[in-house]
Amino acid sequence: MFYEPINSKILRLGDVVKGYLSTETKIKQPFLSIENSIYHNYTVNFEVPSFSVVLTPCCSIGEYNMICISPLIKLKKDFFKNPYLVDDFTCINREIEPDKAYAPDDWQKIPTEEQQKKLTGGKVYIEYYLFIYAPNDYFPPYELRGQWTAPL
Amino acid sequence: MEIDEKTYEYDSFIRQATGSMSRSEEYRIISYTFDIYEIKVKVSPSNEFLGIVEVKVNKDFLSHKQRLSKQSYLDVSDYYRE
Repeated sequence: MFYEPINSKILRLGDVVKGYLSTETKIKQPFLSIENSIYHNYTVNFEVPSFSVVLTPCCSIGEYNMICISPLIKLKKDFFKNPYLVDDFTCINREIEPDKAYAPDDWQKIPTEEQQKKLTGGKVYIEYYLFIYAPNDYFPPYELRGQWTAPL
Repeated sequence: MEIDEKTYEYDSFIRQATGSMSRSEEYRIISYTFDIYEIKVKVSPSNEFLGIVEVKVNKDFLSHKQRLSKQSYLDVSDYYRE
């Protein structure tokens, strides 16, 4: 918890943690009987991510004695196309002007009428399923195809 | 033909019942917006005015243009791939 001067052992929503195992299960189709399972139509991937994030709401952690965590992932390389995002990646956590949501080249390719329609609607969220953490000393920089930055 | 409120309620109940196959089309209910009010008017199959069923305040105060322009999320996922 880089935003607190003293670390706490109490986990809360959004806390970044280390040392947790992450598993991902993929199935091609549900196997409704034991006979179908011989086709091995599933895979299970294990990963120990450098960092994970607590997704369980704070009030539920103590009650059910379990937490839900998700691996902290890297930035998308295409984010670097947009200078507005590069200036402060955490702007994705907030509403932004529609024209700032696109890389300049991409925005110019949108027809003028469509641009005006988007601008009329006011500020918007983009990539709402992501939350980007501000750079801090706990997150080591990493290389992303020639771009150096902090983890997402 | 005038239909009293009780009859209307009963017909409405029957028409909306699960599995109902009846065709009670002796009148239609049309919703008409007037200023801040939403008025439900009962008309015959030949669009003859039969009465006012309901008057309520329309709580959606946004104009059509405002409603079209209202947005809170912009899908730009096609522009930002891995």
